[in-house]
Amino acid sequence: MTVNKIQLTLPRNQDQVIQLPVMLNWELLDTENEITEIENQITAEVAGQPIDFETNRFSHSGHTRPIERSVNENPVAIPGSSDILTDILYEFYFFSGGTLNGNSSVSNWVPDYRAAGFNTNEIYYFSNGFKNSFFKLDFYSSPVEGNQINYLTVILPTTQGERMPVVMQGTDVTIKKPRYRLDWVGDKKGYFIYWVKTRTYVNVDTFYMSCKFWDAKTGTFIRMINRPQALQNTNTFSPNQVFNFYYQVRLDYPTQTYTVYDTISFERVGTTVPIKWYEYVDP
Amino acid sequence: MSDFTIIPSSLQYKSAPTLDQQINIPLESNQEEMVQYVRNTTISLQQLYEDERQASVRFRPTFKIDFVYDNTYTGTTEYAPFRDDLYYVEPTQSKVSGVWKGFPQYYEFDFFRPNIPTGHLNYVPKSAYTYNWTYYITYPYQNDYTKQLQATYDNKTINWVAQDGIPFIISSSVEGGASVISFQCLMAHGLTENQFVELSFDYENQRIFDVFSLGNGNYGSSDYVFNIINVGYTGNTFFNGRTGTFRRVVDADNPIETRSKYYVRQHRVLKNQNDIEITKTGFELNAFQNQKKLEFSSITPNNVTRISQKTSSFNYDFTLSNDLILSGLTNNLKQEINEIYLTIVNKGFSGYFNRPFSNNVGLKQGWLFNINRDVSSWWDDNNVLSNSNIGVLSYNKTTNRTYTFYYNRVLNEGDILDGDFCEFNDYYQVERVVSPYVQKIKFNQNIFATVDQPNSNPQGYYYFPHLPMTLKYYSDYVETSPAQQVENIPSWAYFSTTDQQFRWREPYLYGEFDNLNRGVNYPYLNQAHYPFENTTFKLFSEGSNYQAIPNGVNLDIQPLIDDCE
Repeated sequence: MTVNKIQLTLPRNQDQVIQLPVMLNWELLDTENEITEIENQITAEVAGQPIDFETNRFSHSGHTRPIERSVNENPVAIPGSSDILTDILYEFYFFSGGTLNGNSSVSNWVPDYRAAGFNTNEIYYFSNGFKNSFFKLDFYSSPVEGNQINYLTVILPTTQGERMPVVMQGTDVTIKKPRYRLDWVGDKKGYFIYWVKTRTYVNVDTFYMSCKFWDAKTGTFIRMINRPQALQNTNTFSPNQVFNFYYQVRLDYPTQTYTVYDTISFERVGTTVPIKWYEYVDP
Repeated sequence: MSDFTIIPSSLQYKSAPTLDQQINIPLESNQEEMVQYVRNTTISLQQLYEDERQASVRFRPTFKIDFVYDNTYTGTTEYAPFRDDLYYVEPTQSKVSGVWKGFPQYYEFDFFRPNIPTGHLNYVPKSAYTYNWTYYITYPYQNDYTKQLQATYDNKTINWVAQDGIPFIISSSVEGGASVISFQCLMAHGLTENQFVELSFDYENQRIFDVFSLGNGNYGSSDYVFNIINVGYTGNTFFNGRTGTFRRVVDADNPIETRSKYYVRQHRVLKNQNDIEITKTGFELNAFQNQKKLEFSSITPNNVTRISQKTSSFNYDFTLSNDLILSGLTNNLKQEINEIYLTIVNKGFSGYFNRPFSNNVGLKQGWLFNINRDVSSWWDDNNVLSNSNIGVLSYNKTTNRTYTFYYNRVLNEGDILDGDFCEFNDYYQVERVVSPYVQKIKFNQNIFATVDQPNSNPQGYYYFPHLPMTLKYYSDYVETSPAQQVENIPSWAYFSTTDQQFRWREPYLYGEFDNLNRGVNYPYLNQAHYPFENTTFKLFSEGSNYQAIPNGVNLDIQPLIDDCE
């Protein structure tokens, strides 16, 4: 048995205390690395955090169309059946002359390049003036001119688009028509929106899309609006700056798709319902 | 321990009184003010960039794929949408006989399928790139040591399990006057002279033999033949035609640790086609011309004039729509992932291929050693060992009768599919691909008959589905560390009990190259690496690639480019 020779005497009206030395040797664990870590953090803050400017490809969100069958040569929708489509449909109407106001004047805007001043030959033979013309879709952060930023632009060349039959010098031919059905294949220039992957630098999920037509024959821009001026209730030449010059484009980051909405009715367009742009005629 | 002795006060001298005693414990504190310059640091943007780059596990890979194929099998079909759309051979005779024979159009093979209104498919533009093939980003995830394998050589079929090693057939030979026992391997053995082999059978309890020489005099045979010297082995252990397997042993004095392991690598799907974006390259085509012709209306079954195209020459870019983040993932060797693969698997949605053989599987799989000059029995419909693990789906179409069309289903993230047959040596920490993984597609003879008499082992097309991209290289040397020192040893290090050392290979840093010029230096920006791989995806017709295997290299042929060139 190991004992020491310390004797404890009975206390005389006072408490006794034995003080035991407890040895503590300690140091901060990994202090050096902690300091280095803090240094790195501060250094990174001072130098600036890297920003991800990589873009992703946003495609038009899918929509459905009833599958049709022909009954006596008339298409009839098959109940409960539908195709999943991804195309986006634009129609551009040019003012062909005549009166500007009144419901009956709506038909004065036609989807025909000839109403924009091109003749059939120029369209058919892709003259320089025609083939260098294009529609310019600008995507803004806001419909209010005072504080809007133009984030991106999409060009739709006249060499894309559908065709329509015409007679040229007594011969039946087809010429380009300002009606665009863009999709993953075929006419696809302007179909995809390329926008930043991450939302840390620019956090935008709604754009306001305006449209201009660049007429390379005359060297002028033609402003387009989303309603024919004939439908303006008050003043033909006073379209609403917020509602009439834009469509709303919403991005969905997880699925990397976009959808287009009418700014007045808030209904989805660009599906089987086209995105319509009408030439704005200055007073 | 200190040498202090505590003496009770009553014992300090004679008749000393008993007193309270106390021990003072000194609490010492040492502290030092940091001097000014220690708190200052110079910010090096270059160093900061380098630190971020080395730490980043975010990847945005791009593969540029040159798709090379030839459309070689003609056939006939009664299914009108296919019959009216063939690339006809002998159309004038077909007009008379009423049996239209030809090749499928190029877009039954190509990555991109255009919108051709044949009446067969309800074309969806978004799916243009995924009708014929499916695409995955995969990585080697685990090893299957018990995979049942089979190879045929000289009408001899050898069955073995992957872990048994590499199969061979024995023949006697004479080299430089010395009698040798020659081992014809069915795939590249990977041996060098003076290494050792552990055979699957023994000679008087001896299984390990010294490799005396390589090759048998035929062109390229040194990769497939090794010899051991015949010191006068008696009995019939090494009789001609005996088959077996061997495993490589590097050091006969340390056979357990230096013996190679053999296995089939298995890949795990990281991303499937939903995350992969495919586009045609802007202006690049491969070197092969497109074969086109005009089908005149008078010699077509539906009296329509059209342009027919047999082959195409497009190149494609494959990128990811979402980033690939590789943190927390390890490969089949438990190392940091240093390779990813673009895995391309036939889908065949139009239904020309992939009629199921059994278990609802229509896609065959094997390894390069299963491709012979003639169709190996491995590929027989009745051989379930060659079935892939990818099931088929189907749909029906009715014209004059009902036809069933099959296509391979799309794999999901986390799914597993087989890969190359590999060898790994723990001691040397190096993996070698012994034989690459192959998939085979066959025409559905009920839809498109390529043979007059249907059989269970028809010809088809082969392809190597896994296309690698190296993200990092491991060092060409082996790092070692004594057993007592475990700091900075990676988790994949191998501990050699013989040497009492840890052994491993170290991954090189991005931008670091060794004396063999091994290393990667991919662009790093936007907080991500942008690796790029320019490679070729080939679709082989049956019999067109047999020279890559022993049957081929033993032929008395003149190589187009020999080793001198």
